Amino acid sequence: MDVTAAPIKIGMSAPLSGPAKALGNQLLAGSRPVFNSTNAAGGINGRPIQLIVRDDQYQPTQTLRNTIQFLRHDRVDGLFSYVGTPTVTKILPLLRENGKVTLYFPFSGAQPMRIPPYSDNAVHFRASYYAETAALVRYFQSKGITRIAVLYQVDAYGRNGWYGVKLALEKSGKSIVSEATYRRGSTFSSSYQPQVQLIMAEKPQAIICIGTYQPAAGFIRDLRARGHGIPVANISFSGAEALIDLVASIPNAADNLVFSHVVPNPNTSRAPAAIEFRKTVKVPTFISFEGFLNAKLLVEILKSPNQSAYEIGLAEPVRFDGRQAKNSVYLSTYSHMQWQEIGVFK
Amino acid sequence: MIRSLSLLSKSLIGISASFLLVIFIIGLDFSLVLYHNLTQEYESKGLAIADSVSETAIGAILSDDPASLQAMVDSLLSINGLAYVVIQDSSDAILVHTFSPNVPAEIRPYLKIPTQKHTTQLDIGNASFLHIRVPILNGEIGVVHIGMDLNLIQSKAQAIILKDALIVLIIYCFTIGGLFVLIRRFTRPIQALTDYADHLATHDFKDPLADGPKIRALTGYQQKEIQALADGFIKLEQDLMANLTQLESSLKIQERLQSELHIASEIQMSLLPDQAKTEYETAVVQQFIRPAREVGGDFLDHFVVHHRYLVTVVGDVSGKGVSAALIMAAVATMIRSTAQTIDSPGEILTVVNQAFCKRNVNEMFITVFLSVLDLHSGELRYANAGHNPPFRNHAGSTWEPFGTELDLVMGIDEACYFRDFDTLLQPDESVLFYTDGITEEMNPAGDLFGDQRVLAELNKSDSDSVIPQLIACLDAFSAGSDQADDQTLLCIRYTGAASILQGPELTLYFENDLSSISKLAEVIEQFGTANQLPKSVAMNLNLILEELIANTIYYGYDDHELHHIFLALHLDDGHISATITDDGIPFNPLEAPEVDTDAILEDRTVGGLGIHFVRSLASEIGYERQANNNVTRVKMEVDLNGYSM
Repeated sequence: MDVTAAPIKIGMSAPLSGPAKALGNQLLAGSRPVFNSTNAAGGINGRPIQLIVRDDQYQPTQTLRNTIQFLRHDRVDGLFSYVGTPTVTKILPLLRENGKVTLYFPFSGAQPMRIPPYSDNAVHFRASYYAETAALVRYFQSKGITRIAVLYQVDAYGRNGWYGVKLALEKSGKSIVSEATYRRGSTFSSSYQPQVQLIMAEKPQAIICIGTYQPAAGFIRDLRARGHGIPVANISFSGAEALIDLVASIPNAADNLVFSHVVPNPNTSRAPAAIEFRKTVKVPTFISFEGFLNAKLLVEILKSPNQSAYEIGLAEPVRFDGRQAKNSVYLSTYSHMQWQEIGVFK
Repeated sequence: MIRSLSLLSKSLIGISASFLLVIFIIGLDFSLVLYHNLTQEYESKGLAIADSVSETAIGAILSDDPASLQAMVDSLLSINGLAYVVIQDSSDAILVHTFSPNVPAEIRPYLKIPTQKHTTQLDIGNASFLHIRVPILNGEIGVVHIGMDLNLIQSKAQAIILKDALIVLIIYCFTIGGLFVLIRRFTRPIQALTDYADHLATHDFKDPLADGPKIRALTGYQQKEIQALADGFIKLEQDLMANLTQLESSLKIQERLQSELHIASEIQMSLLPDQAKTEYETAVVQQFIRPAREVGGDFLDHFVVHHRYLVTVVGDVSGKGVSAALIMAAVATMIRSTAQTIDSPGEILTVVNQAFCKRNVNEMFITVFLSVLDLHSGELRYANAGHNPPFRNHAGSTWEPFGTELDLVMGIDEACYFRDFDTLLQPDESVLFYTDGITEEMNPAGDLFGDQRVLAELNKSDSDSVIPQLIACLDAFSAGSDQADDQTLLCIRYTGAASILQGPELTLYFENDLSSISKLAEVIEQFGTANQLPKSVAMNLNLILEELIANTIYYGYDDHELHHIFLALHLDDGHISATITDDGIPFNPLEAPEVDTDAILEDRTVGGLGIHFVRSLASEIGYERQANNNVTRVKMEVDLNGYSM
């Protein structure tokens, strides 16, 4: 095998430091072994995959600078697993202008990258936030919970999730009972009392949180501290394990939490990919599992583009509807230090 | 406070105050204009942003993609001053906003879709915002709200103003510094002139002033005003020096005159008796004289002639000062010498007037009251040459004028004859002579002291302190006005004949000079009168004592020093004892040779009768030497019925 052939350059901009660093690091932890093993097995048609990683600290302007570097300087063949909605939204016009480089599997369920005019510049593996929020609303409604509040990050990601909840509730003629925002970059140590007050003023039965793990955990801490035990749901982007790590030591905080995920539970899934994943990484998490699956899918696509379905070891082969993989949303709850699967929403 | 500051400080304060006022006004105006302009700029900037948002939002709203809208809005927040953005859809629902934790309540009233662009100022919490609403597609699709942070331009304006204020302050400091230097240049010569004037004021002008050259240098100064001022000061110094030299020499002349006058005054006073109180045999004289000037025209005199007659003179020469004093001295001397030979007061004045008139070229005149008191009898003879009549009183009665019959003043008529008048003073009777300087003294209101006040005061006085009390009253009356005329007072109190010899004891002494014996006869006569001794007894006593004392004087001393011989008389029941004590060489008069007293005292008619005669007249006679003294005792029998042994 000719491993000296020109590598396939893949650029990845993700938060490796800052308040969302767990997301980038876990994605990288899950995906890097796949590329390594692929390269070890001869690469893609003899060309090794070269993953170039740049830290953007979850800051859109830094993401833009990183992407320009990838396109101009590194002359990458593809972009992979960018983290975040505002970050990806920021670079979409650049990709559209470039026209040649595709962003594979951004770690975001946001709409702008799934709808025109930028729908041609990205390929998505994970389900959209609309899908996740709709699944959560349906789950709560099945439990008889109709008064739903939203805490969201006041940016494109939060707005997307908020709108997803809004749309899902509107289907059954409901609306968000109360809402509050926090600024991107807020940390666990910040106070979320104002948000708790705003949201609880309308006595919601459940809260859907469109955030990242640090502010979400901080909010849950302050919410529980005020004696509110109502369910708090987080979507996949939040980083479930990191969130639970932060609140685990706080009494009652790590109870009655609901999570939506776009991959099966890496700890319990019996899918071959999950089994392989558990063998590959030391600390399996939902996000690193997503990174693992993203990398496997990218390798398959690079090997044989334009297939109708790709087998990456999940329960079913991955099929695409346009540029969005038809995928499921997996709901689970966490109470008393126990994960419990709720079900898969298609 | 301001007044005490120098010209320099005042100028600087004035300039600083006006400068700061101007700066304050300009600064206020500038900041208002700046704030207004910045706000306008801000508003147009905000409107531009809102316009562009409303344009670009259309696509995202229509494609039902709030996330893209939010991303676009978020990217705008990097625009400096843009504080928040809210986009509502056509149903008034908020589609996106940038607030955390939520859209503040203050904005809620503005969340209505206007048909036109609308700008308002909005306070949220402590912050002020320019709230701009721009409808999207005329409000058909929604509305864009943006908030521009007014605090930003406020702080920006503040920063600009602060910076400008700092620059202005620096300029101000430089200006004031420059002014300070400039004004100092102007005021330094003025300061030098001021110092010079100060020094001028305290200078003794023996030498030219030390800072004279500095001021002379100023006469060539560029500033004409200062030049003129310096010229003036130099001229002032020269004039002052000339005037002071002149003044000094005239002062010296005046000083010399003054000291001569002082000497004249001393000489004048030395011509007159200078004791406030003089005691004569049977009279006490008190006097007071106070010239109005250094030397005066008033005079007084009193002296005894022939051991018996007390002459008193009180006079007033017309005019005052040196001329009056010279006349006074001459007249007083004339009276004193004339009184030695002439007994009659009127005659004395007549003689003196004749002499005075002959030489009175200045046609001055004198009033004189001349009296002669017989100390033995109390008879008072007097003459009045136009003088104020004196006052008299007897002990216990009131004072009254007497001697009111005047003759002409002296110095007018050479042929004038002055009459004698006569009165008898009773024991303890007083006479007060005065000059018109007393009665015509005025108080500040112009009232005369007057005879009545003098009389009233006299009637309140003790006979011993008539003069001091009258002077105290006069001084109190005239306090505050200058003394107009010389003031003279003379008071005689006649104590009564033999007052000092009355009583059974008599002690007197003699000097070791035979003339001293002359008083023995008078004393013995008075002792006899006072004790009602028969005349023959007194005469015999006189003879005995004269013999014994003369012997002692003649033989008792072998030196030429002054010695005293004491005589003590003692009148006992039917006896007179006489004890003669002297400190001469041991000498027993009983053994003395005969003395020819006629050869020694021309006017002696008795005496020299010899010791045998003494023995015959005395009932006892004895001598002894006691403690270096000779003591001779004589005893006589007295028959009080006029018969002596």
